[in-house]
Amino acid sequence: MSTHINIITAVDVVAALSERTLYENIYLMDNSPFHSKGQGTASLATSCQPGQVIQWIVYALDLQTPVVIKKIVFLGASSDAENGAQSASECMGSDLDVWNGVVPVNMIPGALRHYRMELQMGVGQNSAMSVATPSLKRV
Amino acid sequence: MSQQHAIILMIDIQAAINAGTLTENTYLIDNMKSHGSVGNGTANLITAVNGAYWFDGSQAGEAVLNWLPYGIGALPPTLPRTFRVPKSTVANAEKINSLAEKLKTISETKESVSDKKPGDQKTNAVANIAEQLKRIMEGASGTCKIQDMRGKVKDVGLKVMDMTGKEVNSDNISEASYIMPIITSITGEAVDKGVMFPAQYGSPDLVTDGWYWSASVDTNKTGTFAYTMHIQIYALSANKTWVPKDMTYTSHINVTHAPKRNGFTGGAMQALPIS
Repeated sequence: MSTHINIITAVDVVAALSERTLYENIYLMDNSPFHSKGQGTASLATSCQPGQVIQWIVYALDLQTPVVIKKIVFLGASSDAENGAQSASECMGSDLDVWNGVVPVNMIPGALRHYRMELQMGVGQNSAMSVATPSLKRV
Repeated sequence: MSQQHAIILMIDIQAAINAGTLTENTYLIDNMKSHGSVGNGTANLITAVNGAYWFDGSQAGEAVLNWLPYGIGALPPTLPRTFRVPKSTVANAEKINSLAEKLKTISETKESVSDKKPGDQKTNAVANIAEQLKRIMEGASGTCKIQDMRGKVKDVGLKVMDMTGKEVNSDNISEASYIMPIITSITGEAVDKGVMFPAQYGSPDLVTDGWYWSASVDTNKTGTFAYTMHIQIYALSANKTWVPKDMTYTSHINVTHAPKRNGFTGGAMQALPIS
């Protein structure tokens, strides 16, 4: 059984910044061996098992537009779970952060655990946007 | 890598040709200002290249640099490359129309003076028309020629035109729009020390004539390094031939790197914070 699941996010940065929303400008895909639902959409529900490592990677459709993951927060969690180095950086966009972690054993099977992924696209107003529709599902 | 680097060179072609150097006639801009690039919009740009490495020291991200040369006084790069073709055709059509009208005038003049008045008047009328024809032909700028580095001249078949696409003739030749400068090579300290690996790539995007220079960077080699761009610009000679002139320009990259760390914990990987 594969112990590593990659969740790849492709972002149309130009469209997202122009329309001021990630809605319909973001595509998530994973390589989970358990056949996740919602591949290619913002509502990807990644099927996983405790002990597996999940890694989030983001790519911009236009290579010369910037995008980095600013934060990933699991919803329903208590406020001090908003941990983590708010990005290795004050220096925006330094992509020094690796977003990966091990699926914990205390996840309730079958329930979708949504997370909000915040992306930083360049600097300035409205350059940080998020989606809260993707989730993890323990099978 | 959050994005590829883009470095734009704005070259004041007229000034560079007059001065014989790109120094003080070139301005550089890159897209890494928020990452620490210094000197945007000036002649002395130091491009920030921020790398990252894994805990074992291996390089964690690629840094890719792309260069775009633009000429001040050249046709805007946003125009389609075939822009000159219909403009040349229109210029030719207008010339042909003028000539056709003059020919019509000639035949009418011939009839009207042939039997009426002898000698002088007929000669004057014809000479008058001949003078007008000569002026039309002189006004025609002829087609644009380009000379290559070996001195061979090739006719491009298109007119020399100004920034709006209007044909330019001998009296206003100074309004002619320049040919876009081309980068022919990238060398220097950064290349010699194996910090930067430049190469020329073909592109289906004809904005830069289908070629562009790109380089990947070994971000393990930190520090500030100079690199030299070899640029070819074209000067318009008296007989409407574009003659190439080779010049160089030196800029710098500042390579830094820092270790990657886990976004959730700020340190090593742990269980996901799902409570």
